[in-house]
Amino acid sequence: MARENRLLYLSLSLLTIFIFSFSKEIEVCKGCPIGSVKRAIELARAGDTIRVRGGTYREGTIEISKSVKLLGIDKPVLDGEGKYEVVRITAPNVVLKGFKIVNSGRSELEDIAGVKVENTHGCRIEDNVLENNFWAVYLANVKDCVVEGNVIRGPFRVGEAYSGNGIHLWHCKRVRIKDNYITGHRDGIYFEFVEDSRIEGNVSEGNWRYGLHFMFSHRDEYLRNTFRKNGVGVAVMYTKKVVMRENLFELNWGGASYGLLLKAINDSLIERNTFYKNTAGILMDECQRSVIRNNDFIENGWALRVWANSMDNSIVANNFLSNTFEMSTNSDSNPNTIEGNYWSSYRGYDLNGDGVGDVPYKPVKLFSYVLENNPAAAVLLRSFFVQLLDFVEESLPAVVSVSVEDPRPLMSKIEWKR
Amino acid sequence: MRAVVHFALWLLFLLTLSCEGTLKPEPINYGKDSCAFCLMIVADAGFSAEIKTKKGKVYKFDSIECMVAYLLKNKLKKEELAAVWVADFPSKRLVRLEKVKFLVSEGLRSPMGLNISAFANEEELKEAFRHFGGKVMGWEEVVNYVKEKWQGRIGSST
Repeated sequence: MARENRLLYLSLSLLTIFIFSFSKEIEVCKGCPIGSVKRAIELARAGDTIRVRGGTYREGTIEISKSVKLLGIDKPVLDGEGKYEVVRITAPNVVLKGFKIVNSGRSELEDIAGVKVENTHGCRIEDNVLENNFWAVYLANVKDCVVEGNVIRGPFRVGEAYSGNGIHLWHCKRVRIKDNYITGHRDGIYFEFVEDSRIEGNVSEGNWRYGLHFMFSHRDEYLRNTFRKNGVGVAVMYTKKVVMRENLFELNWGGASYGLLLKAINDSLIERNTFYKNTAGILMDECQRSVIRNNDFIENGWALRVWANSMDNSIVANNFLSNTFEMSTNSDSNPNTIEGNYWSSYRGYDLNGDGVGDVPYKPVKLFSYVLENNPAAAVLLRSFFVQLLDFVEESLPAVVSVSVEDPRPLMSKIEWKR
Repeated sequence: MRAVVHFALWLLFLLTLSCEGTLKPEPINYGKDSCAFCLMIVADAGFSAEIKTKKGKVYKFDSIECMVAYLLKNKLKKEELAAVWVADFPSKRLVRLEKVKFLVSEGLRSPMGLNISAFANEEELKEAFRHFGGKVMGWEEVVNYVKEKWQGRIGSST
């Protein structure tokens, strides 16, 4: 039996060596015997490597239907001439690395992309530059792919009309989106039905709607990304078990903008993120059993807007630093746990010196409650009326019906390892 | 005196005219307005929807599924609605609900994933169906489809 196994291994490894020795390299360049990428793919067999040298290749849609490595040397340009989907990958384990992919076609009916990967697995889209494409990188029904180190510049500036997304995933599993830069698209990164995936170290800025947007995408992790100056901010919706850690949400400033919209997000963790100068740091609606812990909220209009249908969430050990409003809600009850945060505007004492303020802190100012229920009241901000309201609130706490409070406000800022 | 009365009548006439005009949909500001159901910024004119109540309140939606879910969740009755509009997919214009049929197809991916699109023109609907496949539905069917797919989401408010 053991001998049979050994034989099997031997023949298998021989077979591997056999296949390996036959995997060849094909070179493509202007003036080479093979001057066309399409032709090279025709000639290639699974396992081959195709090296494409610098130059501009206008070949319509290049379909990669074999498991090959396509490597660009000196950033060869694949040009869709405003008419075609530039690259379409349909085979498993394809590598596409080092290209400049530009000018995809545009359509009102179809999602035409710079690079589209469909119904396959194991691809690597790496170190490419994508410019002026309708959708840039588009993965549909794909598993175990990596999209890493690409620079993506869309055709549109903030506020301009119809365009597709930068990195768009639909029905995918176990995908890694790492260290990409995305600007000038509708949504920088967009996930719909994407599970068990990791989004890490990306910078998404200046996209005209959302920096990141996902729906129905369970068990994904978002780590160390920067979302800056996008039309509206980041919107994550209808999803369970998300981890968002050490991201930066900044400079999303405008009427309906926010750093992060959490809509129907359940059983999730929002940890060690920074929210800096957003109209609202986090806007929560219909969220349940999620934890918001160790985040910095700095100089936002509202640090947190928690709408009444959010329940059983924990908002603990965060730093609230110089926000116009720390919290607002449109409800007078508090179905969430708010405890052990540092509030820079807390004026209480700590007589026993345990680091915890002796009187609870009420982060929802009466005026912000009024404002949440009557947005037009914003014109009264910094008026005498509001000063009066704040004064009444401070001197006669019994008047205030908003029951949201932090029973253990900290006396000093929380520091955590980064 | 007579001139004043005339003037007043004339004004009244103009007023009724302008009231008549209000049964047009309020234009959706794409990229700015957010969906009354899911809060998403409405970006795709091919799938949007709008309702106006008899009280004059206007609600805009990024998708037909969100509009249906909103009606169901808030238990809005027909008598309370002045009009419902949905985007005619090919022309991307808002048209009255009464004028359309629906296509549910994975080939036409809507913003909220239920892939409902509306067509005012029978020929264009047939063509889209040939091209993208899927299922053609009437309003009742669409309501039931959303009810079934989004059970938890619609019930969660109460």
